[in-house]
Amino acid sequence: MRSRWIIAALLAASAVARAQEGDVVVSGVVKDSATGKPLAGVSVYREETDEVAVTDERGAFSFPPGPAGRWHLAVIDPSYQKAELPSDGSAALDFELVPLSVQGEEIVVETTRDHDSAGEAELPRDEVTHVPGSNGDPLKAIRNLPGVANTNPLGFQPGLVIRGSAPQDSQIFVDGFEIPLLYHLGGIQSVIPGEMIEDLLYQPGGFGVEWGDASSGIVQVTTREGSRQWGGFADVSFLTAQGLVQGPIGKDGSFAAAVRRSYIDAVIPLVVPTSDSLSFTALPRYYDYQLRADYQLAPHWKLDAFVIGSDDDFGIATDATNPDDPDLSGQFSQTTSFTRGILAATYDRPGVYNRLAVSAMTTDSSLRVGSDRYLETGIDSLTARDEARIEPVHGVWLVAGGQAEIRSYDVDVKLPRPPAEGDPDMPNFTYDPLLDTHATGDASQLATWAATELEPAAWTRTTLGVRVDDFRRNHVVVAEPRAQQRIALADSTALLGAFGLYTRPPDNQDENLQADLKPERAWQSSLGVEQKLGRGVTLQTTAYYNDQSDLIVAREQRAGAMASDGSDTYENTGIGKEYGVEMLLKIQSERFFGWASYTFSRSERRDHPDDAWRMFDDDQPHNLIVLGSYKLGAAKQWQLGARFQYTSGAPYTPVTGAIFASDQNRYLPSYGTTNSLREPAQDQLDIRIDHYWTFQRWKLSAYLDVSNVYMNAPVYSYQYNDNYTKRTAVTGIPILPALGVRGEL
Amino acid sequence: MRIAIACAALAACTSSTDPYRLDHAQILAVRSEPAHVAAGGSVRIDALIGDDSGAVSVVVPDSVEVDGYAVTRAGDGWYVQSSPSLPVAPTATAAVTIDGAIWLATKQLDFADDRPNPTIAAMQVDGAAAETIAAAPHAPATLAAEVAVDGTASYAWYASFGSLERYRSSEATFESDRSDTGTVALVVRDDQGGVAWLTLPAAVP
Repeated sequence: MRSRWIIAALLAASAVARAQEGDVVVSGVVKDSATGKPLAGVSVYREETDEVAVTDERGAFSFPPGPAGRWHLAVIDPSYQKAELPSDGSAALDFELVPLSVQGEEIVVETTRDHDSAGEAELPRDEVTHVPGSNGDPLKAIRNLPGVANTNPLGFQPGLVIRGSAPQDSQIFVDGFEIPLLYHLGGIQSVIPGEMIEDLLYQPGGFGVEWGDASSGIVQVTTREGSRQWGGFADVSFLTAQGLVQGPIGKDGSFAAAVRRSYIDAVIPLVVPTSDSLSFTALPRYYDYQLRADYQLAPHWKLDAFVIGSDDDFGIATDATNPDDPDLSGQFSQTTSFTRGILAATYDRPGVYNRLAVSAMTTDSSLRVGSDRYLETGIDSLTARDEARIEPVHGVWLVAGGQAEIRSYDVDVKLPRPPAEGDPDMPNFTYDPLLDTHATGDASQLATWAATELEPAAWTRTTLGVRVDDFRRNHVVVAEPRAQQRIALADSTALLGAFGLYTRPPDNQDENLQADLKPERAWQSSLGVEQKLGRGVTLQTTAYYNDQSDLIVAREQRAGAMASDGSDTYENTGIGKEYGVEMLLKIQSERFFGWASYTFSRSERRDHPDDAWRMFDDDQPHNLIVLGSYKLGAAKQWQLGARFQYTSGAPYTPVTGAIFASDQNRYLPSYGTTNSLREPAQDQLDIRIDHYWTFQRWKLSAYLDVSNVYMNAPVYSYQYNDNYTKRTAVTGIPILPALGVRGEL
Repeated sequence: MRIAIACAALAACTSSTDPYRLDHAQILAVRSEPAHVAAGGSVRIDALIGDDSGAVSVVVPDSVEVDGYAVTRAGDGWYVQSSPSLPVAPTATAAVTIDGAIWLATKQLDFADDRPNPTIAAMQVDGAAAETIAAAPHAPATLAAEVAVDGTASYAWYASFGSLERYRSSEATFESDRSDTGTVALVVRDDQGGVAWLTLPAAVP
């Protein structure tokens, strides 16, 4: 879809050719600007006739004779920066394409592409991989954008808290499909490396009808096409070793393949002595891999395939007893793996676009706690998705599409209810009621959508559409109307508004065991202004209000009775409201990128009709981030960056006392008002230093990325003594230095 | 479909101090004597507590409430008379004042059948019956007990000084790195609500 925008932008930017008498032959040569070598298999587009000429082995191209006049030609290749030249046929054209390197290249971000809704932001790969404190991790980089709360990255359910909504309310789509697991080992690193990403589009709300299963925000991850020139890199860093190789497939295709493996399992035995009381049954390790292949079948037809896989393993054994939770003692092990494959065919020409994709996914996970608590899941799914856009008349786009998914599942569980939003305490594996069931079956979900984009004049664009989701397992069909409006108030100022209904299906954790749940709903509204303050300087300001209903909440408190088959654990009685203001001041230049992001937000919940309103678990009124990265030296061989963040502390529920349960030999706390107090505010400084050495045939780089330089460890929660009379703060890692070295061809 | 993921943090959600220490006010156990009694009978309720000084004592709670049941106080505890019209497994809530503060505890009663509490005949130190827990400094001593229990037993060892290893198992290891005197206590519970305790003086010369 991204390439469609590029092509459309290029073609639209050219003037209409004037017809002249007599035919001419337009020809030329395409070369690599760095090596001077001719480039074969590169497509050259002529805007006026939509013709395409492909270069031969000598880099030469030639169009059939055509009318004299002004021709507009564009060369687009995933390995090079775009290039375009006019021609009147009087002389041969020479295109010298500037190559994009594997690392650090400027990604083509379509500055001509207007945002659909307020708050949208793109992160090109160069920024994703160089944001200080992120270690090149794309999802960590996104956490620096407005609307994303600064939460504990190693929580029970790590993810993005966008505009005051739970992580499961937002989705991350990779080439159009969701992936079941975002992070390795509960939050250490995201499963897709930044180097395999073309770009990230962050939409905190108000997104189009093409996207569903999210009642809050989405992130669209577009994976990178491989270069048609052989290349690659090897990287050894703090946690992982990884490599990427890319190259051509015949004359009209390319591929990129990457693999990454952690070596925590090799380091731990060196720094953690084994003992009789503590041992690792499976040293923590993870790996992931990605493969993308692209092939240009014909001038407008393209095939692409993408495979992503991930595998985590971790196990620990101890002979120590947890006195308050004996069944939690003994062992803890977790394995998770998934593979998703996507095959897509795209037809893309001015005015017509269609992408048909099919995807298969298999997922297995196992969690074992103690001797008799476990969760074993196996999920396989097959999904087909089609997206179409046509422009029947100038200024009117029709958008339509559909998605069908069928999946089979096998769940074997014997665990207490998982933590839910608003729970003041964690589950007790010994004394809490248990989900104890083995469920298998099939489930399906259908969606279709249609929208109209009206752009009668350059200053206004209106998008009206509806999405219909059929959650067949839950026997619920929801029609979700959505609208976006963009008005250019001046050349440098645009007003954006969005309004619509968004839903999140009841498929988070054990919600799958309860078929009578309805999807959660959110009516989203946002209004914002985008302003270009100067060359490379933009300011986005957004106000939003989300009204949530049918929120899935626990029917009883944790110790309350519930069916062991999970059929009555939850109900749709929760409501919520989120509102706030976001600001993003972004500065980009040849040597510098940086931004200041500030979010003011409030997020409140009411679980049951008779309850009082309370703060959302991750309510975060203030979140300020200032970051920048500057390239120094004549050859930009140094890159220095820093990042500062200040955030409000998270709400927590105070313990007001405890009562001794004699038969269980443990104290049970009593709690005050849910989320009525706050942990201390957090602030931290991160720095990153990169250095590049360029040799004739390869490039070497090294980086040092240090999180929390002044060691101000954030407080994430409190831990109590056995009778709840004393507490200690549970803090995050006080400082995390990461060192990496990379060799790149 | 999203995967349910727990993490290592889940396993780390344990208490931050040593629960075996007799260095603060706490209720160690609430006892129903007998553990179960059939309809028509009554049970007596008392409690084992520890205070800030490390002393352990058996006390009569300040109050005991059992929803709907008649409760009377006597010199050796609170008596709860069974009632055929009330639930057979009510929960008793006891209040005990320790070091000037009121502590609450719950205990489930059972009026469905007759069942005795477990008994602790004696404690053993390194395999020998002992009236006093005696050990040399830096010399680990294995603590055990002669217990009569019907069903599965769980153990809770406590000490007012030194350290205890495996303090939730049938055999614990006691060790002190300095000379001191104090108390070692053991509470044994069965899986039917029965409870027994034994307290011995301890000395590390």
